Amino acid sequence: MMDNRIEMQQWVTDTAKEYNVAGVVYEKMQYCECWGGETLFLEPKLKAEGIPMLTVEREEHLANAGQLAIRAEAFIEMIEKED
Amino acid sequence: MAKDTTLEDAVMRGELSVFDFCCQKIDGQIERMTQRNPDLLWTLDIQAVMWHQYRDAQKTGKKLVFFGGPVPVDIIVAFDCIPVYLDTVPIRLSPNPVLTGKFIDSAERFVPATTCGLCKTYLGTLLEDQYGSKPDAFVYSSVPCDSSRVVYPNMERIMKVPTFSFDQPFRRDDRGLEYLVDQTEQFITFMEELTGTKFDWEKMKRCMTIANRTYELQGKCADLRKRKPCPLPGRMLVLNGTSNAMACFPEMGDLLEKELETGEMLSELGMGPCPDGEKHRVALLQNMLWSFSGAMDWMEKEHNTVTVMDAFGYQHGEIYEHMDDRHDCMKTMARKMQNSPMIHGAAGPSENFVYLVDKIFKEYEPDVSIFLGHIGCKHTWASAKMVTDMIQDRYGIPSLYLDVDGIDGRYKSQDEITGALGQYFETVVDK
Repeated sequence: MMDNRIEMQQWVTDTAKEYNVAGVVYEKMQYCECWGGETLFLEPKLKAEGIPMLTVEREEHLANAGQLAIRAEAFIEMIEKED
Repeated sequence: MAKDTTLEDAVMRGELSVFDFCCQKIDGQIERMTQRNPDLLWTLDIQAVMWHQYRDAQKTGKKLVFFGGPVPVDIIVAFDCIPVYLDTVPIRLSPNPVLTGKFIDSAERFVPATTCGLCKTYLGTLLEDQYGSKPDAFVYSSVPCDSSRVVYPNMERIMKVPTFSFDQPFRRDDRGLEYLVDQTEQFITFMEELTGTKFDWEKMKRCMTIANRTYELQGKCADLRKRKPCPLPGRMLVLNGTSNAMACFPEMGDLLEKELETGEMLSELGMGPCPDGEKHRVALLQNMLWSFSGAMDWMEKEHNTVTVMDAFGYQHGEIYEHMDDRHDCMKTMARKMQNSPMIHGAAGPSENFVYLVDKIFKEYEPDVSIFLGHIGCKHTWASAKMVTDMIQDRYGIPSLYLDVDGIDGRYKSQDEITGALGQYFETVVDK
């Protein structure tokens, strides 16, 4: 989380490939900047491997479940269309 | 007459760099002040020097070193490089929420919205490629701030320039200082490789001498604020931050010398910035409200309340004492780093911050306490209760908590801020 970003992002990408995932959901949690700043390099890295990534920002409590569900649904539809 | 926004519009379109914008803005201000109020030109000189230096360094063959957090800037200057304090960019842009908003919005595509506005602005400026110059090196410190912990490493990867990162220790004892001294020696090697020159102790001594003058004068200006009435306006406190980048340049001392001279003169006349005389003295805790420093003018004008000091810790900086003793100087530099804003307040142990605030209340004798909390600075918010409880217990002064965004003016309008401050004065302070 702190200084191992390149390795961590490589691990995420390798694991996604290993498990043959169709997409990655990346959650940015409000007030958690350390975890929340990975998209800048992780998203293009996954994209280069043909793995789409959905980024959502949520609060710690369940505040925007409906909105998140709609975005997740749209993401799944996009993946299914690509398949 | 409508305000001329030609420069702002050009930045918004991506046609004008931030460094160019700042240079042209300050040049315009100097031109206007030369005509209308030449006696106050000295308040602008330091900004003109700094921004032109940022913009023109590479044209004159000097290397540009971007830096964030507390780092040994004196060494960068001793290598004849120009240090660019990243915080100066958001601070300069923040009075214009539209402009700042462009860079903040750009950064929020990649970092949480709750990230500090300072960090979002300098990341956004880089993402938009609008600094105007590519740095030759980047130096940063592991400020105990989640926002910078994510933004600095990302900037390092985007810039792809030689980078050095300092690790700030939690401990404030001799072991902690030696830990920083050790890294500073490694940093000197880094700078030697970057510049292709050897570290010249004579040059370093010249830088330290200038820095000493700056911090001695800054201390005297701070002491002047203890007088009643306080002769200097709160707004002058904002300029203290400039010393982070400019302490080793004589122009910073020149500014402070003039500030001291003016303050002494006003003090002899019994004058201060409040039009109807000083009624209250306020200490501002936590960060500076850069996006609306006019709030301090407003308090002076509307409530005859002068901001005597802030809790940034710019009262009395560390002074180099034994300039022929390299190790002693490195330790002074380490102490400077540990006493820098952010580190002193947020790095812990919390006793340091409580001690600093206690000292402000003891020495400057404010009767109003306002915790103007920058929302992005969660680490100093964490100490709010400890600090304000201490003020209540020892001085019997309640504190107002007011959440603001020191950089992003869209968070709370100026009317909302003065509204909240006004209510506090009416219902608590003046009651």
